[in-house]
Amino acid sequence: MPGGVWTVIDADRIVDGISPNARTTLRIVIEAGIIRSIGSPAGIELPAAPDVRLLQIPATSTLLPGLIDTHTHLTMNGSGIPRPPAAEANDGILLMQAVASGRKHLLSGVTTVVDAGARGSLAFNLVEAVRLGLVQAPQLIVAGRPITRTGGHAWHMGEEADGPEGIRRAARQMLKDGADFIKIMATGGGTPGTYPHRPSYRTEELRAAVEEAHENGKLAVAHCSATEGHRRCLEAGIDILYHGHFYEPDASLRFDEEVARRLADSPTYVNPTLWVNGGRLHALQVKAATEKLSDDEAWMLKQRTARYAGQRENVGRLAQMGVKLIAGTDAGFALYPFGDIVTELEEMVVCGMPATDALLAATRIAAEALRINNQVGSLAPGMNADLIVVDGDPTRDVGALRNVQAVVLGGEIVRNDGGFIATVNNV
Amino acid sequence: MSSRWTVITADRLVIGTETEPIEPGVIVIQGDEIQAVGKQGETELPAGPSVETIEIGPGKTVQPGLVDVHTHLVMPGDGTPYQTFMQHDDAILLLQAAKNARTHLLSGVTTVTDTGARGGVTFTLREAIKLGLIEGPRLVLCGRPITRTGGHCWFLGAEADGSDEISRTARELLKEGADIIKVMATGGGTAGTYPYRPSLRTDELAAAADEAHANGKKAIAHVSATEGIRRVLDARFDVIFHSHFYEADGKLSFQEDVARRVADAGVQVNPTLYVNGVYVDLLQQKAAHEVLDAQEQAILEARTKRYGGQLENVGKLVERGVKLVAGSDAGWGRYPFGDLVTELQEMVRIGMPAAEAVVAATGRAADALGVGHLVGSLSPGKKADLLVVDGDPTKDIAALRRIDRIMLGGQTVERGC
Repeated sequence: MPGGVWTVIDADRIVDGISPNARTTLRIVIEAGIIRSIGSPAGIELPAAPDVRLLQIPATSTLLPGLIDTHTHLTMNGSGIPRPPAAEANDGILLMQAVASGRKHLLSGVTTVVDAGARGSLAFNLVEAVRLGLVQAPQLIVAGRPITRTGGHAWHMGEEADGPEGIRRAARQMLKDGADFIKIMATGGGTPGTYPHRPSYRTEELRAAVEEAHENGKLAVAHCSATEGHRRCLEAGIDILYHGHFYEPDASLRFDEEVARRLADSPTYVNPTLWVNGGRLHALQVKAATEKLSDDEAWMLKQRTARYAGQRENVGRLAQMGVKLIAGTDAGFALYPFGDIVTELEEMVVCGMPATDALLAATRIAAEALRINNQVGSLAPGMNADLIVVDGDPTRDVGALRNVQAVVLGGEIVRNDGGFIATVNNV
Repeated sequence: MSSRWTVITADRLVIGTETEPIEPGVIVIQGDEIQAVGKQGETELPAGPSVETIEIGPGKTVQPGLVDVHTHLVMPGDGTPYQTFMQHDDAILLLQAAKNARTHLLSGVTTVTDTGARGGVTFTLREAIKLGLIEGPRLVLCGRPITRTGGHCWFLGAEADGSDEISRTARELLKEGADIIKVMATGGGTAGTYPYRPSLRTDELAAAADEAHANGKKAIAHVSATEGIRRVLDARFDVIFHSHFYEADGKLSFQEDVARRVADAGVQVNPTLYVNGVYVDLLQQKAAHEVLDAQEQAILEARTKRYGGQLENVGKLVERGVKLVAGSDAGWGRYPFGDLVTELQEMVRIGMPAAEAVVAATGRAADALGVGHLVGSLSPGKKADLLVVDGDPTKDIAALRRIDRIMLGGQTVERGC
């Protein structure tokens, strides 16, 4: 038997990412960062290797696949407090922010992180630093610079491109730089001068991005908040839709049954990004509870209250209609800090998704959307040994995911608050 | 100021500026600063609910965090040639620096001096630490080392020639945030430069030292050749790195008169022993397992001889009263971060008492860098940067490999799983 490090985990309750409900009394054997076997302890002998680490998980805990966040911005700080201008201008500071953000997410149980937009070469620098062993980070899937129209959403960090040929060229540039997928801004967003209810690209422009991505075996992911944007993304064959709000041209939210039906029938996945909006509402509610709001804040509170209620309702309807929803925080943006994907999952439950579905949306379904389900997202032989242990049963209450006891990344134990390890010498 | 008080009691306190420990001792810390240090029973202690008392177990020592006067944070110290590593862009150098700084901190070095990095990388690292993006040691930075066109470490980006240009370069570095001015006074390990050749004239060196002193900073010289030592003494440098005593013919030859001048001037010397010694060790380790080929055998013999000469020269400097300060040169060559202790062991090997080596790596090192008012010793008004060591490093320097606790500004550094 090879002399690598073997880890054996015995757990009473396992969510394997395949079946929604928890399974009981399983043994997982890990070697060289890969799950080698999983099954009843009676049927799996301890490997005959000199150093076998045995993790005995207590019955009160749950073992599950490492979580996948399909949507983050690692270089942004998610605190709502702008960095000092000199720091904001310094790519080095943004890179250090990305390292810190990635680490925070990892220790909170997120073992795969999608970076959906960072300026310059920062995302690629981070990937390179991980490869060189300078940084410990979750598995990274990066877009590099998002493709956006001239002056479009996130142009300050984006690759501005216009027209199908311009977009094709921009996509090729991103692929050359090392992008794992193509991110394109199909509508406006939070960037001043852009509006979430206005599409920013024509269908043929979106199609150019999709074609370029697909021809190179990559996904095309769109930021899209307007219903008309959804129609165009569906036409163009976008693989993942971020936000998926149903903004009409008059800026009102109105669920569009027909577009929702088309989404459900298409291969497209939707990442609803609830808490990046809910968090801002929550901050206003907290403020209102302790002090008097200004007139502008009071108006904003009213606006956000109505809009967030509408958003939750729409997400609930998408879930009911069978649209493939995946978990993604948008962490880094606005007031969404890293290390808290759980709140997003709780919000998905508030919208009507069963806790078991929310867990799948952050594990196997997310992996399927990203086409990495042959590596991560479930616990099965041949999969990466990315897994977490939490106190409690997240299939009943996803909030249990806050009680992280251990995080294993590629077989390496990167967090262990439970004191689970015992070394056995059975040679 | 934070009203949080911490009282630490221990059988032995090593204060960093003197070799005699305080036994049994007590340290009183408020917030990030030391308020009182003394013998137990003779020191007034704060009382009340906001006082945390830490009793250090028997056989252990509390001492100041280590101060390394000489590192290169942007370099890996794993033998990768600089020609290869420097092809990386600043982003990678920054993350290498962040990793190195953290590794050094976790080995007990709470103040890390960078004496040669590229561009603004180390200033960015300090900013990132300040913003709380990474927990790092205190940094004492030169930014970029000043070197002549094509001189040692020219690739780090501060080439300057003539006294005016050198003054201006020093001013630029001070503007960017340099805490010290580092100058390459002779060649070194950079291709096309030679350790036994001076690389700047005395007036050029003086321009750098004067600019440093005019701004309250220390001037530090990389200098291997004896003629270079003469020039940096004339230029009134504060600290000399390497100090090998190379003659113009490339041979090592100790010069009494120059050593006397170093001692009389009170200039501190960082002898950088193990950055050379490591090559002898590596070849000897290889020889223990396999037969060396003729070339390797020749290199081993030459390096052993040269390293023997270097150790002898540094021993003579110590005998003549020259004050040594500890600096690893980590990052360069094959000297990895996290191992200042090996350098200290080599200093003990050439005849320094262990207690002196501790001073050379704490109080005296901090004074040499001009930061002795902040760190390097356990005394009132200093930052509470300290180590709990299992054993007595003043008797056995290797005890510094057994660190139980690292405190940086009164906060215990989490060392992870």
